[in-house]
Amino acid sequence: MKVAVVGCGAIGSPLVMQLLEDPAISELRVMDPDIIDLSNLPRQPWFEEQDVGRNKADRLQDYSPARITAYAHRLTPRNSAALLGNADAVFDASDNWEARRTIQRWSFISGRPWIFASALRTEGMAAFLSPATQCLYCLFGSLQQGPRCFEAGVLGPLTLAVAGQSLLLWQEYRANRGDPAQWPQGLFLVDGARQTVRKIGMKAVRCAHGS
Amino acid sequence: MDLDNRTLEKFSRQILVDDIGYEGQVRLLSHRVLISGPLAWRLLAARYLAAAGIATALSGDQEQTGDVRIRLLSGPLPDLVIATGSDGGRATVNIGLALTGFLLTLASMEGSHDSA
Repeated sequence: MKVAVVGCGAIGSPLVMQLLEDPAISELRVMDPDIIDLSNLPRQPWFEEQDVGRNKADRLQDYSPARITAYAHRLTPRNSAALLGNADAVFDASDNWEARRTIQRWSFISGRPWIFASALRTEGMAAFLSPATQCLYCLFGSLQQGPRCFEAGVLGPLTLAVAGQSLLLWQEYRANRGDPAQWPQGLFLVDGARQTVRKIGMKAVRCAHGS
Repeated sequence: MDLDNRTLEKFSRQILVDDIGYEGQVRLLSHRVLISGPLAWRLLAARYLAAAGIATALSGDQEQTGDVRIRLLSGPLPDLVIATGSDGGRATVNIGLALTGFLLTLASMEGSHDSA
């Protein structure tokens, strides 16, 4: 299987490390235009002080050059076909609504699933999205970009928990790949202060936004 | 203890979190822990706690299964025990949530040098 991870920061870096443990994944395509900053290190501990100034995707590739393909680019509608291409699934770790809309568009066109994830302060969210079930617009309508980590702060272990929730959704999909009725639905709220994960939202629906 | 400019910059995203703040970050930097449990998960917990500013030591045991156990060496908290199991996603969620709560607790309590 080929999967792509959009964003190599606080959610993307632990996701990539865990996905490398899955032998069924032959190619991990990672992309991020950002360079590593000193302020990233407390929540992105796969990078070290000597990495400051390097591109995040390039640095992650060092962990497994044979399986990771790195792109030091921002995902845009113009380059999405080239960067996401024939991926079997895409993980969102972008902290960016433009990128999420672009992944959603790719999903509508390709028919393939993706996993949305976000984290801020001590809270996060994750959801499994596919044209056969629910999409970004089913969950959020036309929601615009809210505060981001560099504006409101975030705790590193909370981003780890959100990455773990994304992996759980991926594992549930993998176990039921041929049966969309069994794919995870709804939005999973990760609450670091209460140390809970709560599911809200939909029972089985079929998205009509991509039609 | 005052944080120098480089330390302030490094931890700025944590300091922005209301429940941490400047004083909370100073307290985090005063704490020490000892971590035991399955090696892969022990290393993961250590990586995130050290990155948050906690002085972190690993036990020398050779456990491959079971819970992660975090002992606070700088205060009177009971050990933090985190279930891992065989599911990588579940273990990652459990460790992430438990460490978030742990950091929020440590940010509100002063670390001492004489507790063990």
